[in-house]
Amino acid sequence: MDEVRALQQTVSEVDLIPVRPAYIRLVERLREAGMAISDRRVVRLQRVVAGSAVISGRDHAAVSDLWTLRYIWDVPAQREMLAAHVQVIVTDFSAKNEPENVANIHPLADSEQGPHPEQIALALDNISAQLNEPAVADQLALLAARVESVKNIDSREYLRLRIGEMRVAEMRGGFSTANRSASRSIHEQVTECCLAGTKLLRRNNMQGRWLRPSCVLIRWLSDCDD
Amino acid sequence: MKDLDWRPIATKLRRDVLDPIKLRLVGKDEIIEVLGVSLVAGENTFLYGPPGTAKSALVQELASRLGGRAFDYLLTRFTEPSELFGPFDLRRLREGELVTNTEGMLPEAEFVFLDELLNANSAVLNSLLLALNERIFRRGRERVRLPMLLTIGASNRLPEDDALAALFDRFLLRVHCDNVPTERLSEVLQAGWQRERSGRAHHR
Repeated sequence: MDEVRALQQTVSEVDLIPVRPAYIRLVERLREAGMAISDRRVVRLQRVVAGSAVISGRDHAAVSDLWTLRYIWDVPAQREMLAAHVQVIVTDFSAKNEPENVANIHPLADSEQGPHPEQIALALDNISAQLNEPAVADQLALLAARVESVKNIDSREYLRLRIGEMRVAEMRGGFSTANRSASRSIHEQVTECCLAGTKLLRRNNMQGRWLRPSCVLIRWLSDCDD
Repeated sequence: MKDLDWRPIATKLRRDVLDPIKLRLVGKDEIIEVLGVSLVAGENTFLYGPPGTAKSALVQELASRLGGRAFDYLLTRFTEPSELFGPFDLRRLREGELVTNTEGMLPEAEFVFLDELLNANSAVLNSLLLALNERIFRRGRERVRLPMLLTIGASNRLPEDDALAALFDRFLLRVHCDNVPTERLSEVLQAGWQRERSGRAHHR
């Protein structure tokens, strides 16, 4: 027990200077993306970043310790968004800094296992509910980049299709009623995407959650068709 | 950093605590690592997920491997502060003293697990917030410093009102704790069976 307390003590002495620019930039990006992170939390999260350093045997924080910020969501739909932002910042700043010793990187900093397809699907559900927001294009671009590192080919294919259909919709001014009648050609494209996606799902027995957004789209399209 | 040699302790924490728990609780590697950082940082973690996903077992494992005392409680909407912090000591009450008997309760635990955290009602909420913010327990003239090292809250829902949001806010890290994917179910069954057996053996 005393040893744990000693480690907690050590955390307060970790040198955070090496990560500060990356940390600030990340917080800035997350706030721009609409996450409300209070200054109080930003200050306290430094302890968590330092904790990752200590547990990895370092007396100074490194950019890789920012993995911890993937776990600060308020609703689960933000998870994939957080992971994407963290990845961008870590890649950006690792290029500028001295390379880190692999042995001293925290195991969760390694995004080898690739992003979780279902989490991306969840993030997309979230975005499709607010397609008219100005930040949507950025968020879609970010997720599109994440999709490319999804390991499972079928899931990746399906997610690509979904992002494609959402981009089309977003460019045409979203799903607002005003645009519905004018978007005949989108109909066809979207139906095609949905059907392809559904087929993939059937073939792989994937979870129902993925099916739902496609069904909603198909239902909406059939409403418009008359 | 100071003369204290903390690196072996960090290595030990991983080798003797985190890694063995990963073997015992299948598919929880991510959560175990987050809890490890959370423990070292002294910040609390919230586990989001359905019941029956080994959340309580995680905390028990951590506590027992680190030789700490654990307090584990399932909150209902009717939970009163005394259920967490301990009842008044009746013998001393007769002598006119208002003292809480905290034996085996939250004020004596290093590891606190509060299941269904968001069931906390306003009576519990105040004492909990104070405990989480300042690691202090206060009742009447009593003021006790809490040995709390790590508090873990769990729920399968998220806060809907401001009071609960304030409580949720005290849990800096949030992890999803879900059922293990079916392709690893066989490992879960094996590990669970092993635990069951060693558990029974202890009781005998």
